[in-house]
Amino acid sequence: MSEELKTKNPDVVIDVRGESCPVPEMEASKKLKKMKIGEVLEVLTDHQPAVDVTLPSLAKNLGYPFTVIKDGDTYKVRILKVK
Amino acid sequence: MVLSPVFSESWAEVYAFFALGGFILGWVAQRGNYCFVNAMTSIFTTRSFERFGALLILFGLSALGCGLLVAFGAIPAVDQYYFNYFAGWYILVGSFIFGFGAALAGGCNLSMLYRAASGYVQNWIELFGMMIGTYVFAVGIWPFQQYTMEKGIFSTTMGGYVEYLPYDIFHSVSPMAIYTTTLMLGLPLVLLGIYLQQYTKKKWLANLRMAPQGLPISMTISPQGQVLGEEKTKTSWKKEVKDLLLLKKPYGTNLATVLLALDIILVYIAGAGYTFNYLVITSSDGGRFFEYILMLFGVNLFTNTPWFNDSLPIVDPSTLMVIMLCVGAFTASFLSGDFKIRIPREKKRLLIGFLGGMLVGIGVRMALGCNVGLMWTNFAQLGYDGIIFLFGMLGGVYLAVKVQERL
Amino acid sequence: MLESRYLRRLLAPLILSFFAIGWYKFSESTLANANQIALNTANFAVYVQQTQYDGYLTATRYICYVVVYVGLALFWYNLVKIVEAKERNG
Repeated sequence: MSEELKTKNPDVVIDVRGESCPVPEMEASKKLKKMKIGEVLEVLTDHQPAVDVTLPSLAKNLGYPFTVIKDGDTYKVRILKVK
Repeated sequence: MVLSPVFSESWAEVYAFFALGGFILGWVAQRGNYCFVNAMTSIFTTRSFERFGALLILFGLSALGCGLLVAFGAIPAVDQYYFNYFAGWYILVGSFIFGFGAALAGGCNLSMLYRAASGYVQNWIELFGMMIGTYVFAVGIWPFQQYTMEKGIFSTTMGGYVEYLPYDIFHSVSPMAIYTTTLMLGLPLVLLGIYLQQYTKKKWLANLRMAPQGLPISMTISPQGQVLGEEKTKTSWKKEVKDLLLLKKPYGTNLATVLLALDIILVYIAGAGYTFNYLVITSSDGGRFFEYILMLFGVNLFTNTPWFNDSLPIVDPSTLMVIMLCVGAFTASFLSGDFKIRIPREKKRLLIGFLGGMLVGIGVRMALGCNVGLMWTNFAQLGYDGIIFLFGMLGGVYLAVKVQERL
Repeated sequence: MLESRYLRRLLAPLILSFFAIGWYKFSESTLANANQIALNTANFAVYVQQTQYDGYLTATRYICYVVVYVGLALFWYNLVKIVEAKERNG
């Protein structure tokens, strides 16, 4: 499953670059509610606090595994919906 | 009531201390991503009380620090309550409008300023919206509000000791009354804050145990799949301090909380007896900046416009404090490599930011202050407006989160 | 044409320095003028006492010096780093 999160193409991608809190976690939360179990959400953001605090908080609160990929100035936060 | 200076300072020194206080505020808030609105939206979006708990700890430490200084005679009581605000319907209504607008726009007064200084265009728009909102309030609402304040219609008719909790509870401003009130206000806030943080962490740990085995909770990898760093539970404190000083790591929420509490106490001591000796942002942003811009075109609002003509001096220490807040935030973001001009992808966010900013401007002026200038400051002043503001702001933020979910 | 991140690193400290100078000049002329108008119209809620105003100008002047020097130092440092990087990459 760890390979899945790293290598699988995300099922849903949201681009919230340029936005600051609470937009990234709100958009992520909205999308996750509509996604199926086993799907991966990818959040494209350049807002450091979203990467350090709010998106991890969202994932931890929901009990979803997540990973962060740094690609230049942009962060890709991938969250796997498990339940 | 007569202010009693503690130290013999020149005005240049008072302004310099406020400038330093503002610089520290901007720097620490930027490094710690300290946002009062985010602390409240987290309750409703991610069900996290971690940052809200930190806010309560901040208020509690500020109350304890300032209150105990007065209780032990280091600062005269009058310097604590002299600038206490009026209390009335406008605090609740204003804070609700402020909370709603700030959550829509994406930042409270503090985060709006430090994010604007870090290059977030949305917050520039919010700031401009706030300027317009201030003017709308000054012309459209202030005359009515001022009338209710003068006549005592759901309002006190003065501030100062009338809104000072030791006086309200014990009808006394003796050291013992102040000491008792300080502990009654400060300790529960700190303890509640710690409890909320622990509650959130325990919930996360419980969720962690329920996560699928063998799957890391977080990992930072490059696009080629190479592991760059993993979430570590323990690093040496020397490395931690070095990373923080070299701006490689952001400040943790609790570290930022303690630094900000120390900052308000610094300003409190330095300005005691001279001026509004707290971290007051709203005296200088929004309204005053708008007025200053118009001065460049020869328009002087203070000559004939309500609110502008009777509320604030041309320039006070808080003006310099706000300027240095922006400088501090910019410096921190620039040196840490975080500074970048950021434009939202969805252009409707800019319109929402402007409208939210207008509501912030109206709410802030109605409530006689913002989250920093009224709410946080009022806890340090041992007043009760801050408590009213806290609940009003929570209500406004909750409504904004519900609206944002449907946008 | 320089990449945007290099431009950012060069322009931002310069803008900071100019802002500091601009704010001081604004305080010295426009705000001082406004203060005088407040005195002439006897609006003492808005007027700032001369000693306090002088203290504000003194503090602002020294802060302006510091911010300008820091801004120029950052600009120079970044300029050297960018030129080195450009020379290394050819």
